[in-house]
Amino acid sequence: MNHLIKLYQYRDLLWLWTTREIRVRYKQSLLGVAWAILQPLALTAVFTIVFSRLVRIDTGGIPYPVFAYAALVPWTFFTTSLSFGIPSLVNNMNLVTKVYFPREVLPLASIGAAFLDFVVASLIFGGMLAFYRIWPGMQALWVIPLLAVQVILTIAVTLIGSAVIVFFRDMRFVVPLLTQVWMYATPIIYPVDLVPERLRPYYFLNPMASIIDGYRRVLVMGQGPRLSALLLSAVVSLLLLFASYAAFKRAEPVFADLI
Amino acid sequence: MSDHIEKGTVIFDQVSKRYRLGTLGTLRGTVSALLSRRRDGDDSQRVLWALRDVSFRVEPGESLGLIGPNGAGKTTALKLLSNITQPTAGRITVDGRVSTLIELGAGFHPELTGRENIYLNGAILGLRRREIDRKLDAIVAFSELERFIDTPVKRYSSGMYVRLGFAVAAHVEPDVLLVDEVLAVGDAEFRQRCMARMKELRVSGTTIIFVSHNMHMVRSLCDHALLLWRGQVHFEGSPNDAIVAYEQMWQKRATQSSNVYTQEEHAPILISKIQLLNSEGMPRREFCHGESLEIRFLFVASYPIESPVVRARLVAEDGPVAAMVSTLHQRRVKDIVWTLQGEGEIAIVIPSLEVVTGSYSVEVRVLDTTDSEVLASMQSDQFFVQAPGLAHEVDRGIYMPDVTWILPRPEKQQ
Repeated sequence: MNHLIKLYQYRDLLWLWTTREIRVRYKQSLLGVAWAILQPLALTAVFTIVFSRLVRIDTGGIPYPVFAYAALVPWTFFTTSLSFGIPSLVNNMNLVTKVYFPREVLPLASIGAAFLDFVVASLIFGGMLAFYRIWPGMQALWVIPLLAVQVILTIAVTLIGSAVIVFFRDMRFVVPLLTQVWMYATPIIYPVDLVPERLRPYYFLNPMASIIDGYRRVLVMGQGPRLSALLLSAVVSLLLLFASYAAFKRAEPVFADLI
Repeated sequence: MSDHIEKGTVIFDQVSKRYRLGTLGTLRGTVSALLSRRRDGDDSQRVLWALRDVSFRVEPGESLGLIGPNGAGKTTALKLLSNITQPTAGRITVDGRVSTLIELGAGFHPELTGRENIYLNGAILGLRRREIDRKLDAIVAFSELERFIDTPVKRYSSGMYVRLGFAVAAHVEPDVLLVDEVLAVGDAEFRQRCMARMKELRVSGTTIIFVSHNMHMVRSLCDHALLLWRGQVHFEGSPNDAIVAYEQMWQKRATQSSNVYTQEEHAPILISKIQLLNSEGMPRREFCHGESLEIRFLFVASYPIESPVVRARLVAEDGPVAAMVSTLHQRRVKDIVWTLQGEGEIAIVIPSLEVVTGSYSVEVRVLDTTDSEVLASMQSDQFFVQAPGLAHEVDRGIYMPDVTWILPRPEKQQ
């Protein structure tokens, strides 16, 4: 609780650091904002070619680009957060060893910056829905709780990851592999229907599975999310967040000595 | 329980800080360390006590000077005070807002402008945006960077960095202000203003802890001083007495034989003595402009070090660095593979001392082969260089080459 009060006192720093991340990232890359949409869009194109032309995956009548992009936009938000947030402490050692502030500001700011990418990519998704004349109904409001659960999970994974690689630098090479494997464990290129019924309880232990599936159902298929799976995901994510924040705060005092 | 503590009080209660040196930090390293350690492995080798059982107390509005050689634990003490790192043992009490100026440009981001960095730095020190809004003008005015305030700080000189850094740190109304060596970078005029500002803050109740090699500044700013020596408090008292104790220490250290250090410390290498010799190989404390200077130092390495980087700096008494030479920059030695081991000596010859009149000292450093970690460092006694002209002329620079003048010929009239 004390930690949260402290963090709240540093909210201006969080905001400044987030805008800094955004500016620096967009200033340094030639493509700028286009980068935010390029990644999910390119993957969508590749998956569309592979899975609707070469191998046919039954999407239940949804055009494959919409099917894939609806999952790839939130998924990219998740992976971008991880890939910038996890190394954020190590990358800013100049700050961590020279000044004091609640260290979680750094990974949180990376997530904040990734959120902007997510918003930009979502606008394209809106255009795509219009193009295919798909009108999400009232079910689309489910996006808010879905996003909330996703953000909780993202913070949990990023915090613990950023602390771990302070102790074990070589873990940073594991992160891309991990997200890769995680992607296949999540219904992004395929629908949940392809997962055998008896495996589903285990399948939905992956909190991202019900989140990604949820987005697709509420935005494209006009259905509600799978409630019990989403609830499980929310509980798992929250527990993870508590555990990971506690672990992060415990490790925090030694960060400066190790970096 | 404990007595009431006023804002601005700083208490160090038997504080110790231990650092582990070495390769933990990768999963591979840790696993192999665990495997090889198994039974009563030898841990002690890789441990460094940066501070040991240090206690002191500073009341609000007082200023404490921390002096001592490099590696004595001064910076570690500041890092502990500013909550960057935690003590291994003991208790630290600091009440109120702490503002730290530990290193040049810490808390600055090179891509952002001076103005944006003021906000960033202020936020790091825990200020709200509105508070910074209010102080912005004063900060900019103090730094005298009005013209450059919207330029990215990566284009700033180191002097400009310090000006901005100090301006922010000194205007956030800190209860405790921690200042490390950084002020040495600024020019004399700016340093004067920093001193004035710190005295002002002290009057208004700010506690100041000041680390410096500049004894003159310590004397004029501090109420009392602490001499740290290898992580322990060696002397505490008035700045004058502490400085005298410090100087005596240097003399003692210079006359003692070099192997005293290796037994108690696990420093990889120690520099035991710096000699300043003239062209005839005689130790001297005074040199003439244009004379050669040989800097010779003795070292003791506790294990062989592959191709370390050796650096020497010629530092003028009032702070500015007159010259820096490094084995990295000199073509003839740069690519030589060599090993520093056991006891030995290294000499650096400056063929001609082309500097203006004044007192100087030489600081020698040995760094690892990547030029990043300082393994040993030592500063020589002061010596005097007599050149044409007086010591206190303004704007004379430091470098004074022997130039050739070509003057107009007198006979060409009409």
